[in-house]
Amino acid sequence: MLSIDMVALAALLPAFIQQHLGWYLAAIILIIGLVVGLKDLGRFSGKRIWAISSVSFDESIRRRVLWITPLAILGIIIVSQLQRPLDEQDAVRQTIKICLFTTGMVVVISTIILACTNLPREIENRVIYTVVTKPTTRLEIVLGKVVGFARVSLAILLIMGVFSYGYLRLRSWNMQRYIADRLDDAGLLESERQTLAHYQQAGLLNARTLEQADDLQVYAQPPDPEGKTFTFSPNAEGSFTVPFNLSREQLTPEMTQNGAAVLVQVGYRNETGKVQPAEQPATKPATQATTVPYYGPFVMSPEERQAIMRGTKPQANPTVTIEVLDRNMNSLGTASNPLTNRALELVQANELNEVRAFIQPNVVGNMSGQPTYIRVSGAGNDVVFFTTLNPVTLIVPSAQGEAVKLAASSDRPHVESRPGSFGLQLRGRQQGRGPVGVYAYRSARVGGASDATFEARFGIERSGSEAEPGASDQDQPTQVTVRIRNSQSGAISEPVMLRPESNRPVFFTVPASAVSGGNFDVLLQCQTPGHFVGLQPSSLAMITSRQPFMLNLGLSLLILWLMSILVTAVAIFASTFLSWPIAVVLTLLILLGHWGVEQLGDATAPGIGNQIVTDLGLKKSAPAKAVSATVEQLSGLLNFVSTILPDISQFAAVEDIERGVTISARRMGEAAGVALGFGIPLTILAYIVLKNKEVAP
Amino acid sequence: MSRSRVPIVITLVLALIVSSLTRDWARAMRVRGDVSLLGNAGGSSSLANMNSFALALLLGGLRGPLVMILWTSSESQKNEKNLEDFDTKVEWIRLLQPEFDTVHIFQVWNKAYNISVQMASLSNKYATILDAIDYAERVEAQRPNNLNMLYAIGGIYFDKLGTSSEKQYYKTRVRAESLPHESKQKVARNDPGWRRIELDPVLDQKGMILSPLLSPKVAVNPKQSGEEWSNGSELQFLDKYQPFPFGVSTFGFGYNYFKRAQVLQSTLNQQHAQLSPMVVDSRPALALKNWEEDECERGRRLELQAFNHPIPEERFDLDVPTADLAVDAPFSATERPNLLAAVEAYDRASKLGPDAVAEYQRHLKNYTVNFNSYQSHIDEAQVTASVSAGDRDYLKAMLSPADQRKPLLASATLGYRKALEQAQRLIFKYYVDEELAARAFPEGIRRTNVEQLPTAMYEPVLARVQALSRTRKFDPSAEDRLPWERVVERIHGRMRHLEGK
Repeated sequence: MLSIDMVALAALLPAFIQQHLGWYLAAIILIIGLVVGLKDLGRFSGKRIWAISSVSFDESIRRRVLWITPLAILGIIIVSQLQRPLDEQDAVRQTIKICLFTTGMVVVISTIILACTNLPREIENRVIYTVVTKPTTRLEIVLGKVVGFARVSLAILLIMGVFSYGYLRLRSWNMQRYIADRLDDAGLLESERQTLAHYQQAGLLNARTLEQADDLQVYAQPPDPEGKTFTFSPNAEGSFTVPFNLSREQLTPEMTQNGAAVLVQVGYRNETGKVQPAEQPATKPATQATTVPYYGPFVMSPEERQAIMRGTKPQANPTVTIEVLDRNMNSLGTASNPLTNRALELVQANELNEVRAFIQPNVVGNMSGQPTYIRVSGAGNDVVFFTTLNPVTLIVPSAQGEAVKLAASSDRPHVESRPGSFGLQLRGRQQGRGPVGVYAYRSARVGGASDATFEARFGIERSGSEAEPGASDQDQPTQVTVRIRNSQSGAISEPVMLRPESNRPVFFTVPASAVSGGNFDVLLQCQTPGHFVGLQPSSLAMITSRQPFMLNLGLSLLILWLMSILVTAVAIFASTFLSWPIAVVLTLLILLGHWGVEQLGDATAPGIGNQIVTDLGLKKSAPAKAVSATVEQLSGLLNFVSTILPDISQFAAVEDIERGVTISARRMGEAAGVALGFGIPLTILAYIVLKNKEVAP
Repeated sequence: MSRSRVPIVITLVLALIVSSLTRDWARAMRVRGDVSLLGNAGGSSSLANMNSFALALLLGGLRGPLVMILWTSSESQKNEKNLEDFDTKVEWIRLLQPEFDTVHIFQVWNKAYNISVQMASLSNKYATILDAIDYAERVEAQRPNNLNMLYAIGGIYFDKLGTSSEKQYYKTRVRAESLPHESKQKVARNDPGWRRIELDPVLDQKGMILSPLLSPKVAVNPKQSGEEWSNGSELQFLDKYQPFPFGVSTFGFGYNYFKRAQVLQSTLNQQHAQLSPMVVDSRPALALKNWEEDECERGRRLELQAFNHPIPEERFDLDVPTADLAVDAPFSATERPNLLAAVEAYDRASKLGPDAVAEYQRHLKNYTVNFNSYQSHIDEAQVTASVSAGDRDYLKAMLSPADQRKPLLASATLGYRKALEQAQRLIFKYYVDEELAARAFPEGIRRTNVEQLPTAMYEPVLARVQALSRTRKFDPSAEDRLPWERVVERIHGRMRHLEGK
């Protein structure tokens, strides 16, 4: 009942407070702590805290806690032998992961056991008498124990850290020898040679700073240097989107009653770029309302009828489709020809056509109050479509009956290709005829080296139907050419040929001049027919600087130490009012609660009650309602509780270092934030409980 | 120790002794059912050989949850197409669950199919498939003569390497790598960085199987000597087909492992964890038939290459381009080795055909229910064997001096005549639908009694079938008939030269 009341109470709180409930609770605890412990705070002595911490530290050493480290080291060595890495870098990466995971486990488990058992044991065997009868405050006792166990964790981390560094160095050295051997092999695949050569030169224990691109677009043809023309592929392989942000105020009753018109500037040209001979359109363009067409009582236009009578199939003009998308890029509806409801044809080749279409009132109604997009795609054979700046305009009726033009929230269209399993697809075509992926870097931090190195990781899909004859008989590696266009100088670098394997890293280097100034575009083209390279924003990164691996390992261990401080605070808090086994359970619950609820995912989302009722097959209304309501309340309670529990995923000690990426200050800040944000209030709570607990006569 | 604890200690000691005895008893019962398990009490000292109970104890009873986490995590990684750590996790699952064959069957299939397709380059796909074979071999090494793993290995050689869309690349590599070659892998095999990137050679310079791969691991059971018996040697059932001067076909490997699995099933009553005994029993015959066809196809390709013809994509397009080749047609001296290799391929195909037929007959004796399914296979195997024999002798004649050609050409004529009859009969039996048969066949002849049709009438009846088929808007059996019509066309081409027509 209490829990349900809590949920009900929480539901009454404003959204802002609900979202930051943990921080408000921390502040309240801090204030209560100050009120309760003001006197003890006045007597606060760092010397006494250090003395108490030394007692805890010595006690832990006496309990042979450090003996766990040789066992952990042995475990790391054994488990490392059972790896099945993809290559030498992967072997080192996996070893880093094993070392840090084991270190973290050892620190957390030993801290939980030591901290949870310490106070109850001292109370049970009355050792606490000797402390509390001295002129020490309960605050100093609690803080002393936290510091003491933090020192124990630090000792374990130092031992494990020294071992990890030495072991990783040894392993890296060993793997470098294998790399050298493999590079000597003339039969080595070219795709592996590029990557191995980079590993040999850069080493396997890395700490790099990566710079991601600001934007990714995929054009049908190399982009216009002036940035005024944007090409996209036909037949669902390309499209462009334009964002709109209509406020509720802009949504007039006339719009919801009458809909809106959309004007799109789009053209097409022959794929080779040659000017197509101007053809007489086979059918009257549906977008040009010149004269009123005579359609009835026939079901086809006279032109079409004449063509059929002549026994010839009318040559269709390229068409475009205009779609309205919501903030999640889901379709809200399409814009159509207001007169015929037929496909929107482009009449003139090699120049921009103004396509007019109509958006239904219900679709316009959904466009307001949220970011929306208008997507334009084209259909046609052997053509590419193009558009320009400010390509889409909405025309809406005002209350006075006038037409009001609404511009998009960005003047530049965003051009994309078809999304595949690995991201935007870059279709492979020979001789540079395929689409071009463009990673745009703007004001990028560029290192001072003579070369700029990039790391790429693409997913690759293959289509047997598009491959060249005999392609399945031979190993045809995917070939991707890379060029850099410097926006300031306008110079385009010499192409670099990459032979990537799906989802494996590949490295390439370009002269520093290509990236100087930090404003440049990386242009990618797949040259292998039948292969599709999947591009995601994170598929390409520039390596801007390198730091010593030892420093990165130190930061990683520091994150683990921050975590151990939080674990100590939680464990000491739990042990102030519980016996040690229950304190261990509660500590684990507090630490893993947030993570556990996140793992449940949709199972705690609203509506789960009805789903359970359906799964259970409950037909009667009363039990169904009771079960549904109870499940909803319980899932609500879980979500509520998880918001006030620490998020241990913020202690990301392994992710960056295993990928060879420098651990950022932001990562450190997140870890420190959780450690202190939850550790300090829990320490204060432990102090309040202990202060009010009779531990000695 | 207090007196009250003494009975507890005695009980614990007794429990340990009794559990040890019952474990030995259970093992003895298993061994009685499977003599191949004799002497298989964990040779190496790997983690997987550790007793299952000891492993559970070592992990504090967390083996199950650990495997569960590894399993879900590896599967989600697979779905996200992120293969870093994947192999490691699968390896740990294997080590933690050494006794669960269904786990291994799944993982072998998983690697060979789901993971290999995530690679872009054919060489990496191939390496991943070999890794699946390696996985099965590691399991098999720890528990030799394991039907499930042998069948899984056979399945990869047969289905994945032999029949997938990239089969030409795979088949070429398997054959080439079965021959002696220098290893491309520079990393030591026991190092964690080691990955299989190629097959180990199985043949010596003379094309003979390396002796360790033929050395028996299990003594022949005297009671069953004379019957088929798995002696545990790796390539036991390829022994009779030696030598392999041009390497072993992937179907040959498939046959070897399928046959080992089938023999374990029939002699030691082992059962596959997921498949019915009928399926396991049928595979050796299928593998032999595919091997025969593969050798025939290889002969065709080498022949086309030797006479400078472009090699078509489709298998059934290989028959006709060299059909009209005169016996004295000139060829370059550099192409002589290709023609010799083609002779070897045709010769092997002609010998594999009868073996495939014998395998089908053995299987059908056990499972008569499959008679209808496999009768056409038997007939097809016979046609391929006969036409291959004709091709072999024809090519031999081409390679021989003019004065030595006569007996070879006579033998080729016999082979082709036999093949022609068999091929035409095959078409009538299986590749002419009832409606067409009713119009094309003489009175009283149906598909079921086509043997009663005099062989002299085969030619005109086939011509009538083809003529009537052309008049139909849609002939449902035309596509299936086409490969055999091409064989007939090839034989006609050759017979024109042999009979001087």
